[in-house]
Amino acid sequence: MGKTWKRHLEGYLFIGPWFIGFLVFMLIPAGWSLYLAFTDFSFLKPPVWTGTENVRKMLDSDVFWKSLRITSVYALLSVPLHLGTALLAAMALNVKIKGIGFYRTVFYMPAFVSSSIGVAIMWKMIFSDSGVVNAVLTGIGLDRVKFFNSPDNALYTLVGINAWVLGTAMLIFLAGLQQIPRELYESAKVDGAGAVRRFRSITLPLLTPVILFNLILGIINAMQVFTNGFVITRGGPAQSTYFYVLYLYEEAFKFFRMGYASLLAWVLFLIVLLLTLLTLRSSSAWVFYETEMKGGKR
Amino acid sequence: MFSNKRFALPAVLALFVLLSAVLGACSSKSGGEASSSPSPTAASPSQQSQEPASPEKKDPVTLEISWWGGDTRHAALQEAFKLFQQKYDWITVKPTFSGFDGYADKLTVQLSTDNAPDVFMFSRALTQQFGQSDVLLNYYEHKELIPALAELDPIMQSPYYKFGDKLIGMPSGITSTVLVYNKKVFEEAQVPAPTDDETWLSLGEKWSKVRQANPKVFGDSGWFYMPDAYPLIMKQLGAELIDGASNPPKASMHPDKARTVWTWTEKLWEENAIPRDSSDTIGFDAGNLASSLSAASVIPSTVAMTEDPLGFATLPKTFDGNGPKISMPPVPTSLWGIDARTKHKEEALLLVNFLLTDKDAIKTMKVETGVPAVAESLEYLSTEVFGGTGVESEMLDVVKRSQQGSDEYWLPAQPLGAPDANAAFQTAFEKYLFKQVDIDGFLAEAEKTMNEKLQEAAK
Repeated sequence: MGKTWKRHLEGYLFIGPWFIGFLVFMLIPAGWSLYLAFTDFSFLKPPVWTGTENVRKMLDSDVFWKSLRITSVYALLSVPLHLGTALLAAMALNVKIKGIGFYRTVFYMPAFVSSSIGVAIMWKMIFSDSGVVNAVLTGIGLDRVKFFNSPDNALYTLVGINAWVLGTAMLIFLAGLQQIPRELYESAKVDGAGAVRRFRSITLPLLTPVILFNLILGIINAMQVFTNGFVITRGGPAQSTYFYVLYLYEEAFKFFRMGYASLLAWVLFLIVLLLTLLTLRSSSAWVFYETEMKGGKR
Repeated sequence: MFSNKRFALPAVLALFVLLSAVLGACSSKSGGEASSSPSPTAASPSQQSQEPASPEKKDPVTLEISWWGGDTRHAALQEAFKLFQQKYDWITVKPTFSGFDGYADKLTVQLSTDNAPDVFMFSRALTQQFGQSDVLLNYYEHKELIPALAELDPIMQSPYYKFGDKLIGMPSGITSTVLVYNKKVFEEAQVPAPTDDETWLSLGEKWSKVRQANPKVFGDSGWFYMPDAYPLIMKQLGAELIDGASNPPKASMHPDKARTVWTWTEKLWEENAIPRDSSDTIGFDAGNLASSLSAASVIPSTVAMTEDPLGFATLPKTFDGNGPKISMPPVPTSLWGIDARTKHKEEALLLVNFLLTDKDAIKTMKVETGVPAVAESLEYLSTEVFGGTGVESEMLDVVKRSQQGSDEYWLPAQPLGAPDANAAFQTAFEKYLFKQVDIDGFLAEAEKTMNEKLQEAAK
């Protein structure tokens, strides 16, 4: 036992700083918030244990279910759109031409500022009634569209602008595309396969591991959507964009119900964990690794 | 479990999380006991009688103060602090200021961790929340150091200033909701400008005529975008939305009277006299600001929106000319609070009183923190600083006029849970605004959800 510990001591010492930081800034606060989730805590008074009262309140709350539904719809629509546009961009940038590095940088740049308030304000102005988009529409003889000022349109407008932030996913897709052996395409061409067939039979299957990765990241990010809903629509109009994290934020910092907000945070964690596990579980049916036959069988 | 390496690490991590939760529970109980000790701010009678009426020079003290606002407010307050430091030269004022967004969150965290500034500005919407925590100084216990309190006390008998019997906020300034209208638009439309004798119906007629004369301009941006306007109109019709006296507090929509108001509003929407939702408002550029309900304290920024001459009138005192004339008294623009745990109570009280009463400070601050609450300060500002002319004087005058000529001055009840109830009302109202529900659906949902919030808060 002593020899084993001595052998591993160096390793533990190296990971020590990270582990201490993880403990102090992640695990202990997580544990504290788990406790708070079952208390009535308003920040200004000590927490008071209330047992499952917060859980009952959450399950009885129309707003909880509504915000969960709105966030789920947002994720269901924005993730495929985001992945689709990122893949298209990656394929377009997977060429060897002069200056391709510049174009790739330009496409990646939105990822730097994706969560910035300034960008959200920019979108608000672009899609306002007197913004650029409506100016173009009225200029070509169409009626103005209420993008953010209509409960029927606001959510879909937010889904649409999320597709702009395709930089990170695009980069990962690009790396995946560049891993695909060129000889496979050449062989397929020789056999008479067209572009669509090559994409369907070569590119997509060999890209599935990357798609899986981006899908999981996309789901995690979509379920935590906040900035655009907070800055642009404030959850309106008529709560049509009242995302789950916005609901959590208001419970914590507008109504000072930190205990209840902590419970909401843990519920979100469990939901995202469940979705991630389900996605991973399903991957054996559709993710193809180059070293395995389809379906994961050897 | 731990012999299987595959599970060892996740098990250890899960154990840490649970251990933290258990430790949190144990430490919270001991923390709760510690904080339930009597407030250190409760001055004994013998201490109060020994506090000097006039402050004597003492050892140097640094007072921390925080507020929110724009650049002009920041500059004005810092000039005022220089004057304060000249007068009380043993006191150094250390200011911290920021924009409004996030200010309340930060202040709440500071108060909860005993890191708050000695003096801080806070919103009247937070008085009840902060009052529950018992972290704000009770001004009543230090009357001798804040002489302005005696004069202001009658106007401070509301939940905006008090929590129970404790006075925990002194007004940085006061404000009234008034009409701000574009004189040029009304002249061009040949419609008489709004006066202090309007009813809501007569005001609506003027809005309609303005729109008919100029289809590019709305008569008003939408009276219902001012949160206090609807409760006031309902009160003028004899109904209160929230009965704060009942236990638990109860919300009632009074459908018959509500339909009177919304039928009138629907007609204005049909005529396009007012926009149904704010997106229809064509900005507030010159010429497009016909008439707008606006808190008096934001008049300086409203003035900046247009070069056209602006006029001011009080809100209508009746809906249709019948019944008693009812207005809302001025409300605090914001409040000065003092951390009950501060070691410099005397200096903090001196500073608050100085900002309310010192003429040089009033001259410097003008209306940056609201209209002066103390009558003498208001008079001084209006006549000697602004010279009785100009838009600032007109603004001060309309705030004074808003406190005259009514049979009753009334404020909506603000029981615990009122912010949640008001938010619930707003949600139901938006559904009606965007035609997701009809008037009956809106009123039913508003009443139901408001009562849920009030009952929850009362538990």
